[in-house]
Amino acid sequence: MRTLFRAADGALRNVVLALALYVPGLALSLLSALAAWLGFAMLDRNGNWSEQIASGGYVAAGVEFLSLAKERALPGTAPAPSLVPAAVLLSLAVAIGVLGILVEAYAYAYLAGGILSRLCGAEAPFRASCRRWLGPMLRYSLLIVPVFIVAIPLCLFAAFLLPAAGINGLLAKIAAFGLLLGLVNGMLEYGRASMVIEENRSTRRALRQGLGSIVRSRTVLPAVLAWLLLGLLGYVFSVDVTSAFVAVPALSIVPALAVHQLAALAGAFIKLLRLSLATELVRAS
Amino acid sequence: MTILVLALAMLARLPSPARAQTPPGEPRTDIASYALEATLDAAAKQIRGSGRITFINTGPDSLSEIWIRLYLNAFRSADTSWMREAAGGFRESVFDSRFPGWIRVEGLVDARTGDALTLPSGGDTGETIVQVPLAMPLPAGQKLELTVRWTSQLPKVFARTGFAGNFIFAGQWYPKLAAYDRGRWDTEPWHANSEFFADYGSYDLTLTVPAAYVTGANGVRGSETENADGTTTTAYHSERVTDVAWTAWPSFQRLVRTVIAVDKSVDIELLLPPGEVESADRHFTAARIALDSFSHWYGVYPWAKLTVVAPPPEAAGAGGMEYPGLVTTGTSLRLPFGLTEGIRDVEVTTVHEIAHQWFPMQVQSNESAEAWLDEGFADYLTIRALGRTKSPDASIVDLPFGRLGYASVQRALFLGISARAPVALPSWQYPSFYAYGATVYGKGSLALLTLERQYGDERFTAALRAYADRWRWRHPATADLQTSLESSLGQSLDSFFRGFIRGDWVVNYRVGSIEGTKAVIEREGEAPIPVDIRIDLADGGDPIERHWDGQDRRLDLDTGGRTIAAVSVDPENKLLLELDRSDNVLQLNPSPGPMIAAAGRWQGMLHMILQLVGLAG
Repeated sequence: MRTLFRAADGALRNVVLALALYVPGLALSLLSALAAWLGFAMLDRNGNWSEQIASGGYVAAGVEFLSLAKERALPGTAPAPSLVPAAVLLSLAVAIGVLGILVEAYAYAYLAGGILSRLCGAEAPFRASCRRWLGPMLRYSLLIVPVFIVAIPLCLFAAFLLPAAGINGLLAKIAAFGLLLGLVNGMLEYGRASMVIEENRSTRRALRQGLGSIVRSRTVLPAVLAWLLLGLLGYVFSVDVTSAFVAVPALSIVPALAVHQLAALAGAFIKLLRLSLATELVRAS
Repeated sequence: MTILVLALAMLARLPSPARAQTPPGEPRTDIASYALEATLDAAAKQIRGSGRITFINTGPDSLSEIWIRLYLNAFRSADTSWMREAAGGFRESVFDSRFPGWIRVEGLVDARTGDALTLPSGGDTGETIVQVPLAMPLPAGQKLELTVRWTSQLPKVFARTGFAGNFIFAGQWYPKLAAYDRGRWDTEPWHANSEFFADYGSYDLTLTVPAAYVTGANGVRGSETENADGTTTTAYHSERVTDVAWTAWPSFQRLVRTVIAVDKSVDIELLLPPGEVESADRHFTAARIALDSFSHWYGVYPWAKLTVVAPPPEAAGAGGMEYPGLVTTGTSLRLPFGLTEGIRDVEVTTVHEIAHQWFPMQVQSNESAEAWLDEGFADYLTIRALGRTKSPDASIVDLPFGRLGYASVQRALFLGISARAPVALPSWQYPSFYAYGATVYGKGSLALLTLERQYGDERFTAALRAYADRWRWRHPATADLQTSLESSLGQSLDSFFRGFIRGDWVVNYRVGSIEGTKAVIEREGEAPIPVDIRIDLADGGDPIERHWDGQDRRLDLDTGGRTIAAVSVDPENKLLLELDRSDNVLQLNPSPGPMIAAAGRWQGMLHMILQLVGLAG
């Protein structure tokens, strides 16, 4: 528990670093929103579609854009002139969102070295640390992809072995999945932290350190407890985000934007807390 | 509105189809009556039946034959003509050939003479309809009485009927007379896309099942007797109906509430799986709204009881079907985060099936030959009834982050599949189940909705009420509907029915251009439907409203010197049969507020998603 408090303290003292984790998502989403705005502007030349879409009527609006149906029934006819550019721009907005996941992963790899250095009390400038550790962090991110590919179905399988039924049972299984995934995630972040703290750029060694952290006698109990607690926090955050998806559209645009940004900031802080906890566990071992 | 109606009248320049017969005299509701005794063999999933069938020859001629339907033979094997049409599947169900269904008539006697009547293959035929010669002709106006014995093997639940574990739903389970209408037998075999058609009569069912079973059937529940052999016998009686179906399951939870629908008391009997009891209020509410709405609009519900059966999920193939006084529905979807109430799947199915209590259970059109007269009607009624309780654009999905109206579902079917398909085709002539569904349900309901919006809710409801009153307890066809509507509305609907119902016409309007004070509207497609036009002006003055009869391909608009800001065709969304609504509006300077808000919401959601994904991995 002391480890967890120290991790929380470290994260709070460096809370500005959460902003660094928040900004890439903000930039990407703003870029995507710009394309969406241009698309909506084109679309609205043919009616108040953006209002209908934003207020939840997107499926009905989508039905009305089945212009291929018109072409099939009336060969030679064309869709409304602004429909094609609107479709291109809205598709671009979605594509930016999808590609954003990769960019976000790159940004995290870039920032993680700097954040871990700062959490360790290193004197080097933040951006210099980021640049210094970018290569190993990127390689490490690629290295752990297969671990996730194996771990996610295993965690799902284990979670769904829980003898629970109904909606509450489903939620319990999702929670168990979140906790198990949080544990795996924590082990891997341990490896990431060990590279920086031990000044060792070997990603294979870091992965071994991470996966082994859970069985090392000195760290097993605090590590498991801490990662499970953090996994629980992540699960609560995920549930809150899902609830926000459900509830926020009923709000007007200003409070909706505020909720979205607060949720994004909370997510960024949990990532910072995870790195801080990894740092403390490596130190403790 | 008046101009619209006048313009619709102008469409009536084309020759009429053959006019329909007018209904002759008082309707008869005692043509085909049944007194059936059925005993469930719970282990073998068989029904052993016996009974008496009476039939009155209402035609002008003496009859030397009768036709009997043996529906369950459709499931005799994977090689029946029905099964070949269905390609071994029906909706979401796949036929399990290890558990076939069949019906074997073991005795059929003409009580007038005592003669045993001869069925093909001694009654063990593979056909779904058989011709049975009468030893003595049945003169016009005379009654035929038959005694019958048979055995029905229920299939594993498939296409509305069968068993799943110890759940039983018996639909189309007994030997049934084909309909004799307008002087001829309906001899069309049962097809995979077809439903049913029968004459009215009274039904007495005496049902014997193991004592642990809870039963339900259409009709008033009568005496219940516990037998010495561990079975229970329950009697059901119904009048002015065309069918009887029943269900039995030890696990049924039976709930009853009485509702008042237009001053008439109706018992709603719910038969639910145990896990569905917590959704009982949803079922009751949907049933009450449907009964009340349809009773107001199309005449009082005529029976004392309505049974609503929700089969358990493993017997979902028995759900979503209608019988007179009994409907089967589905179980509600369970979702976390309070989403369950926002998805109205139960309501849609229940209301749709209850709509059938009017069309075709009271207005018995031929569901097989002209399915749109019941399915198109039922979906149109569903759109209307659901729209009474929720905003029409959120009638089936009403969640904070998304909504959907039932009419949009029909629009999707229409645009995606059935834009050019004739609605009034025999069901077996559609190339696929999807084409059948999209046309009969989708385009059929949109056609009625278009007429409603063209003529106004009150006027069109009165016209459909007049049709229902005129044809209640009879067998109308599409031509009869057209004649009745024309009579009520005082306008010819010839072009509408010829183009959209019997034909393959389509229509699309588009705003072609706006240049200063002038604009161009274009019509694409064959159907010249009248349409409203609204012109918004750049000076902020009152919009100019116009009506166009749509007879020409192009309409040139000139505001006489006032600059145009936007032009909208069909601004009130009346033409549900239009092909493309995305070109109905052209506005030169759309308001920036909504598009900024939409982009803002997109940004917020995407940012949260990115954080969530980053957190997971």
